Amino acid sequence: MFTPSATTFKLYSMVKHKKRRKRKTKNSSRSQPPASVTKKRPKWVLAPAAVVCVGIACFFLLKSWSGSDSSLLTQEEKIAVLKTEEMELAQQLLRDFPGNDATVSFVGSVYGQHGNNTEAVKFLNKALELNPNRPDVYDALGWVAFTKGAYEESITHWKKALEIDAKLPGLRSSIAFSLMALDRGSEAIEQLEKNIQIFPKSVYSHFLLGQAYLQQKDYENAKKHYQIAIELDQNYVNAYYGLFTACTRLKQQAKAREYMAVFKKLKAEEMKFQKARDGAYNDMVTMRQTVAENHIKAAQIYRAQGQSDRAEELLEKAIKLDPGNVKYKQFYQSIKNRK
Amino acid sequence: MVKLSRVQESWQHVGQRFALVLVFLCVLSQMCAGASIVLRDVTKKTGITFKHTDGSSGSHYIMETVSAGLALFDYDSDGDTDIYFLNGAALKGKKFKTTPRNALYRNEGGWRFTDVTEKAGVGGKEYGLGVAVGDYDNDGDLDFYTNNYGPNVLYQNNGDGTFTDVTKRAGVANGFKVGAGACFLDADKDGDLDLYVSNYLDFSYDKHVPISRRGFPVYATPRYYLPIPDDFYRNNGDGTFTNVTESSGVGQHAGWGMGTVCADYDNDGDTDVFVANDIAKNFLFRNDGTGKFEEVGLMAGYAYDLHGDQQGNMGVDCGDYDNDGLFDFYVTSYEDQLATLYRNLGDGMFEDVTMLTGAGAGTLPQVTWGTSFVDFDNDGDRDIYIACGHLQDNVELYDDTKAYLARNILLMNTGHGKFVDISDKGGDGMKVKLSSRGAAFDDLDNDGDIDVVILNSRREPTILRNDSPSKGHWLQIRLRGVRTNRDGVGAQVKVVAGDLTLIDEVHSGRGYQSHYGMRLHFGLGNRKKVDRIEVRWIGGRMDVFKDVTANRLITLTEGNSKIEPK
Repeated sequence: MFTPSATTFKLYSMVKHKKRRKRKTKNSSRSQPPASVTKKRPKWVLAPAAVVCVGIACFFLLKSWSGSDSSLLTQEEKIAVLKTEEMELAQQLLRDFPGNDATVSFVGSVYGQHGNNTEAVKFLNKALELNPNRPDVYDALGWVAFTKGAYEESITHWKKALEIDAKLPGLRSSIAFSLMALDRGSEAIEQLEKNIQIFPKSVYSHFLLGQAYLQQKDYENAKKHYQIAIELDQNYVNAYYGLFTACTRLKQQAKAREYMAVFKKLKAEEMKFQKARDGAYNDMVTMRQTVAENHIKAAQIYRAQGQSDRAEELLEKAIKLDPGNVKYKQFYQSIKNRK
Repeated sequence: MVKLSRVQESWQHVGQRFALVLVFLCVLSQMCAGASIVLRDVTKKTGITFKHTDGSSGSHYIMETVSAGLALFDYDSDGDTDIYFLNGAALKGKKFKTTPRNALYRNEGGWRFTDVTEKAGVGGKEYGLGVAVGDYDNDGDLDFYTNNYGPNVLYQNNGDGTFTDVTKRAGVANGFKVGAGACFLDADKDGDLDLYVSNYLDFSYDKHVPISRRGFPVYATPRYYLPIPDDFYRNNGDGTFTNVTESSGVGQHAGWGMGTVCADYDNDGDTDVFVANDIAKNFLFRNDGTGKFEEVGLMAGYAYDLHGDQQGNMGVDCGDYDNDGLFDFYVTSYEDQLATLYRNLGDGMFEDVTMLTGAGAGTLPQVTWGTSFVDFDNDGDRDIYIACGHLQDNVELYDDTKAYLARNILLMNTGHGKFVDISDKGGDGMKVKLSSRGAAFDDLDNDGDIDVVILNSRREPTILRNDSPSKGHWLQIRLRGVRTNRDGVGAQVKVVAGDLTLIDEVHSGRGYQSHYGMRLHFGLGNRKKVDRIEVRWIGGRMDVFKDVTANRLITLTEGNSKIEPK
């Protein structure tokens, strides 16, 4: 059910206002003007004026329908409606389960997506008050700090996440990256070596370890880990750049040129891909996908709280928003089947 | 065991206390080290009323957000540095009551500036983006070139405080492109200045791509537009130029060009060209000594950052930050990217040392633009200034960790190959929050330290006076070419003062689409005199000057061993 709120209310009132204006126009056109005026006005002026009036009336009539059918809203307005719905979903969830850490953390992430990171951090911290054993929340806080360039703070959050779940993928790499940014290369290497023990096939960890060794001017070890990275993923473009750099420093010019050739080829493909991706970017589609994903997350919370009907409702909405997503349909089917 | 007498004990006690106080003072002085650079905002007292416009009307045309650079140069040869601001112009859908124009301000001394635009005849009404200054006709006064959206303009200095638009005669209008940075350089070592013109992208109103992000209209990435090659003009020596883009090797490389700087990075006696390209690899055009270029950015390690990633590069400048006698490069970039410091390894290669040196501090959440290596505190090493301000004028609406109006960044060189972000302690000038673009650096009050002028998008500029408490000595050098170009553009200067060796080069066009610093500035720390100055002029001639007292501006003339004050 669509419930109007702040922004949508604004949109509704805009339409209502236009409706009122439309009525006024109609009334005024119906009311008879003083005879003196009509007499003085030549017919060739009246005809276009009538056309303009009818045009205006049609425009407002069409606009007035947009209250029930949003197809006449601009893309900007449609996205505003979607964002409002998304925030309302989060607020509703918060009203339903105020003491639930998953809910509070979800609300935080929605704020983050809306660009309100200040509010997002507040909710993420509140989620931790409710349940301090949430590594994902610490991870999120780590990223907020990192994007602000607060590397020390990001390390603190990620280390806390690690204390809760030592095997959470990506955490040590993130810590290592921040450590490298702080020129603490040897500590970064330590973290990455540990990570590789747990995730020996992590391409990114091997690449980053190569970077850390490169910073330490240990070119042999850097080369070794870049090579492992491309053994695991032969299209890992950045590792070829690392190999080129390491080989150049080791004065292995022929090898360096070889790696550079592959890097150039893969980089050209990457650029082509980025161009295609940018060309295909559609703000509305992306927005619908994000909102759909949040409906799924909310559905999971409702389901976990035993409210399957509400979860189903939200899943249906998610499928409507992102009809191409097969996973959502499968998820929906699995709930139906269990029922 | 010998027992100490009471007197001895009390003296020991006093000694310990004294030592503690000394330690405390040392620690305190280290803590206060950040305050050694102080930049004061003196904009209001300068009388400068210029206000930048980007000519926008809400359509988000891409060139709006990259305007503009500025130039600091002595247009009237009266010994002080004047200011030329570039301005935007009305774009489609925008009308102004008064047509915006560029503005030239004459430095009257005492931090007062007078608008002499009309009198000088340089109120260009084009859509200004970049500027370079150089005496292209070697007649003893400084001319300048503006790189615009639309035809470019070459202003010839008449030597009487006025200029003449000689674009048509010189043949350097450069078609109708979206311009960027520009540089004068003597690429073929024939004694006159050639012209490198950076081009941003292929744009026309019918190619405009309206884009929105989370429902908010934003500026599109340049990837939506085709990149175009830069242009290179050879000076014919008769007031005209020939476009040699293709034959010089520049025309084979298309990029989204932005800031440029020319410098002899490989010490082979000729000037090379560095171009910062937006969202793509940077170009390094190595000069073969005859004005023919080979693009070697990738092999030299300058094209990408440490990870092999291209960045949204904006401005570029060079300077020897670690005093190893080689020019290093600093390139500014887009949000979520670190502005990058490329250290020159001396073998034709560069190494991204941003993280190792702390030179990226504070830049990650910012879009960064104008930049330079400047020894603000005259302590003998070059600090870094970075102009900031987001490209999207509504960024806060979809990401509150970013800001359209931002404070600029000041990184102090510790002297040990590291930088420390001292923006918070750098005086009220570092607290100004605007959306900066071009930044330029020179000694505006001739007091021996470097001041700052910043062009802010859609707003008034910022003028920062260097009020650093440092009492470091200094030397400023102006070059006079005789056989080579008049202002020594491309000449390299080495200054040796005791254990300190500094290098610099005269550049024309640098940073973010700006021009500044034709008189070279050397901070000397506590050294009161310079033992030796070596000037290597374009073409290889070397002049040596010995025993020069510090704290003054001197002029060194090619082939003349006499040192002229001022």
